[in-house]
Amino acid sequence: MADCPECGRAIEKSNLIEGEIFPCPDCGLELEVTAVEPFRVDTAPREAEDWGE
Amino acid sequence: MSETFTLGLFYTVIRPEEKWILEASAARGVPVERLHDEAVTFPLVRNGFQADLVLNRSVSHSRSLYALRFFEHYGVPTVNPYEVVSLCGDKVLASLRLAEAGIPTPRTVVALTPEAAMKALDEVGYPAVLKPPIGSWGRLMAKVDDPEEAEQIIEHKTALGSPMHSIFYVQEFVEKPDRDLRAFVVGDRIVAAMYRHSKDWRTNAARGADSEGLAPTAEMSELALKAAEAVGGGVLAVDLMESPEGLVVHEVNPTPEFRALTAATGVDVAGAVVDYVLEVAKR
Repeated sequence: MADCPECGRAIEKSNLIEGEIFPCPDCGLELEVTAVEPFRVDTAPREAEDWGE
Repeated sequence: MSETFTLGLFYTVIRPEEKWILEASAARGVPVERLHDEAVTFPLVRNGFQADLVLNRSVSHSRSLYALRFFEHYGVPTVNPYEVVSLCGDKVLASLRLAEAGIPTPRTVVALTPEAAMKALDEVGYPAVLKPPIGSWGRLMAKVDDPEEAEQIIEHKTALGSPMHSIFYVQEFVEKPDRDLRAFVVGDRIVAAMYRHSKDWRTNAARGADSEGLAPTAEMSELALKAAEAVGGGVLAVDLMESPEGLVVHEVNPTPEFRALTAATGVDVAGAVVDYVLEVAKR
């Protein structure tokens, strides 16, 4: 279990993997799984100017 | 596949696309070495990683370019290759290559200074579209309706400071239906295609366009495959518009997303990508 850094909502590990990005179910902030053991989440990296397809 | 083969996944974040690629690899018994673009270092002599082939899924164009060139230097094949990514990631270079291959594209004029950009806009005619040469997801693109608006936008772009914002890629505004078309090319075939519907003139899925699967016509297939081949081939999303004169190719994306396409068509795009990677590895 980890907490959303924005709203504090408890996030369950479920089937998330390291590096995965997902929105916080409460506040919608894009989060990134930074570690799975122990489980940690942080704000997802901010989109940079050269990001894209 | 030989048990010794390891696929390198060079990535920034794990989105659904990357997760599906990991799952498709696992389903095929292919071990994957994850190479995070924020963590990998690149000495001039290869060490520290096992991958026999690297699939590039980094969302950063700059990181992709240097990394792919390094992998190439180490003798590790990549999908897509450096040459393909460097071409497609720069709209100016991509337009030149498509034109050289005789592929219809929107009328385009490039200018290297703000003053020349005003001339380029006059040559293309209003309304026109101003795009940064490097960039994606419709970011910092502008539809310009008249010279007054053009002066303001060019001034703002110049004020952004980066030299790339003072290179002006000017394109005609194509009068098209509220949609464009995307063909997802893997090797020498189109694995899936879709419409991207949007009331906004930009039809990027990243900007909320709605996707709908489509069966490509012979004309669309031929153009998309020709465009993919012209830039060097691989895993590419070819975007086309229905102009009054017929289909035109407006972009070839070298690290394409396929979440919306998978949802719209039900096609296992990730599986097709991994199968292609394995095919390249056998060459």
